[in-house]
Amino acid sequence: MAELNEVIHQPIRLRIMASLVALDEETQVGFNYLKDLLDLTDGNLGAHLRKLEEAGYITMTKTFVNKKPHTFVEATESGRQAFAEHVAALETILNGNKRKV
Amino acid sequence: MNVTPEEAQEALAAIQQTTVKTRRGLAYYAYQQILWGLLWFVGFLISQFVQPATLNWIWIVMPILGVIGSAIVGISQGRCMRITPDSRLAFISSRVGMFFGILYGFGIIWFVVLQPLKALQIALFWITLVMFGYIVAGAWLRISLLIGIGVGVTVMSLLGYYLLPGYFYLWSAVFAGGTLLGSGIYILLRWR
Repeated sequence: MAELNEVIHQPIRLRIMASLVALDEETQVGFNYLKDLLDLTDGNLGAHLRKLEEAGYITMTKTFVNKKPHTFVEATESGRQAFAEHVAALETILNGNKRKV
Repeated sequence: MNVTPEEAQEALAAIQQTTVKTRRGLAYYAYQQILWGLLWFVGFLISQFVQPATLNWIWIVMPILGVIGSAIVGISQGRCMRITPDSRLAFISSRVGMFFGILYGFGIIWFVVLQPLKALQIALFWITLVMFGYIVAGAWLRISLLIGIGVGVTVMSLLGYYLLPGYFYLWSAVFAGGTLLGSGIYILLRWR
């Protein structure tokens, strides 16, 4: 049975993972794009990304584009799996409540 | 951890909202399709009503606008996302890009060698060349929509060429440009 994931369930991290998993595998999203999408500061986003990276759910790649530093973020396979399990657990909670009603 | 059904619903709604927003914002191929569909639609529409001497200018300007537009889309999307370097997707993507580059290169060679061509023949030549690319890419990538677009537009273009030559440009605006435009919008709306 799918279980809730405490790391992913935090609202900002949940939306980060939703954004990363929304795209195909082997696709990376830019740090600034995530920042704008989620309306976060650099520090706030960075802290949540580090938490997800420590859990092994994302990888971050620092590179240069036209001599400017860019960070790209990608969900790992375990991250995608953990997110799918978390979504399934949320749906179970919701469907369980609907059945009671 | 305890999550109430209301919290679960909120979380799922946030996931859906973020998913849709991400996919709509980063639908690179849909935006390219819409761009070229619009250019074909406008280009063919104008072609139907102008003097033959003006056709050359229209079909010099339209591809230039297309290349500029594609570059703008590519650069703006490239700031937001990229394919993971050295991944299988990167390999496939580069091969597809290479294929289309080679196809258009050969298209130019054939276009020059086959001269003189009439205006309608030139239009049909380029439409079917691009659609050939769609069909091959669709077969290679197993994307049936690309194959459907390629076959559909080719068939309709041939029908228009042989059955309604006097209205071929208008026909192409609708069935070639319109199909690309419509399918691009469809991809954008459906990818959620």
